[in-house]
Amino acid sequence: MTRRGTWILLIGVGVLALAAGLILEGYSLRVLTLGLIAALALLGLNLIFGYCGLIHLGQAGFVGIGAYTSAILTTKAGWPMVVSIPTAVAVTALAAGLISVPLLRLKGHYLALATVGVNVVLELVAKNWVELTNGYNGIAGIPRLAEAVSDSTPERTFLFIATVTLLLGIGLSARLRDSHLGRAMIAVRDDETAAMVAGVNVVRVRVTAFVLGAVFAAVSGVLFAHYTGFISPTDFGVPISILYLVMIIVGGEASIGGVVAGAVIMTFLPELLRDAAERLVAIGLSDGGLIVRLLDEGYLAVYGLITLLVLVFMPKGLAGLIHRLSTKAEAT
Amino acid sequence: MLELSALTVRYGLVEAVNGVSLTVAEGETVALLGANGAGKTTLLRAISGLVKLVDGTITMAGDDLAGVAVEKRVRRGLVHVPERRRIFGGLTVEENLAVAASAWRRFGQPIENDLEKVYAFLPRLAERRSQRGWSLSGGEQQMLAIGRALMARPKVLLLDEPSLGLAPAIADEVFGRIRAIAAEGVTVLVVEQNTVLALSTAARGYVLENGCIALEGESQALLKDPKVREAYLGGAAA
Repeated sequence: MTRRGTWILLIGVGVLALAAGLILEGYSLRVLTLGLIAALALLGLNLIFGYCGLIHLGQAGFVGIGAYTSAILTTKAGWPMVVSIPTAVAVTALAAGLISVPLLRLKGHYLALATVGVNVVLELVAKNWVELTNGYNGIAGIPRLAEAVSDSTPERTFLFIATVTLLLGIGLSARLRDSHLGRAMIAVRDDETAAMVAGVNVVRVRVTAFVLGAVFAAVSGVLFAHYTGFISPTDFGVPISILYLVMIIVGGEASIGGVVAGAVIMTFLPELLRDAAERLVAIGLSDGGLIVRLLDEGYLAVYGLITLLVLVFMPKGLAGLIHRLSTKAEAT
Repeated sequence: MLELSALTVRYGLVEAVNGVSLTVAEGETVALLGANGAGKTTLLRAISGLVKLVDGTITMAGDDLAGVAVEKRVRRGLVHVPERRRIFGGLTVEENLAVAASAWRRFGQPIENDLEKVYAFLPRLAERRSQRGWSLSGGEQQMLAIGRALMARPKVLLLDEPSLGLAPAIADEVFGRIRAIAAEGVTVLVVEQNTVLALSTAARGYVLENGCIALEGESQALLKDPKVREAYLGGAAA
């Protein structure tokens, strides 16, 4: 991305997020915040999958390591957030580094399956190591970051925190894309053999991408934990990992702006669908039958449909569509 | 400069290269000829470390390369331009070049000089510097593949089928650049289907058949050899 493009993106995301934060209220504001938090995890997945080409279906697991570590340290060990949050990020990075050694010996769909396995194992640990994680009940009463800063408008304060963190993440991603490491990641994705004979240490680049991606995931996780105040194993299961990958595909892989847009849109989608379902009932077009149930509860099916349509009709996602429209506009 | 002795490479049970020995002296250009499937590409991949040896040794400037990783061989100046160019399509021309200077970046050395040299040597790349790799023509891609190799500051250059899929005029241009690289003192081992082009560039040649060296000699002698003429130059002596 050009330096100008990065600034436009940073300012655009910042202004949009803060403006929406002023206009939106209550539940919508909450959904926006969750979208921004998801976007951070996606920026990490974008390094791993978008740039480095590693199919990773376990990103939610690493979001979970970050969230659980900080939650346990604050609620059970009484650590302050200033210490627990960086510790959680470091623990996640370490875990990713250790797991990546055996994991990244695999390629293609074998790697994809193995990452699912990692996520499943992490979920099982969270469900069954009850003394540490409270199992299925999850951890409640996690200290909230916004309240530590200001008690009058915690929702808006947290949106501000999430926005600033996301902007940092975007800036870092853009810098990385234009660094030697970023170029090496794309080289490894495009052609592993050519990257090797160009002198790139393929293993080192993959491990670095994986660990950096996990750091983004951890930041997303600690924000989630200290925003909602409650976490449970299903927040970080395989379905969430799959949703992340869907969000990247919809937004446009290897495009920072696309990835952020994908995260926010796909987080809002279930709410929009629920709205649509209610409206259908309200105007009497439906009596709450199949279509309403599908829109309301079956939003995963709608996700699937959208993914399919995107893959078939715009394989480069929203980012590719915008690029196509803008070049068309320039041409005419 | 480069010495292979009794090299054997196997894919599963199939022996792709069987007991090949050859030498390339410092500053020399040597051609490796042979039909499809004779083992030429495998031999180059073995030299650059992309495939494992079953038997034999490879030495470069007297050092045994056994156990030296691919990227470490690149750092020692052993640089492979793979078949079909293998450009990084998602990177611009300049990024393709920059990423190939990994070794020097790690030592904190600037690469601007290398870039300028490559652009001066291959001016077409300078014109295309901010274009993505996938948008280049075949000839431009081959030039980029060569430019990428130059970024690694090669002492020994391994070229795999540089004329593959190129129009004759472009192939001549590519070989002209290869001669210019060799004239700077770089040792070159080139695999090529176009026997005339290869032997007019190289001083010596080896002919590979079924994974073994079938013939070797001075280029002029090989060009006149009836077996070479029959197999690779389309028929009997003119």
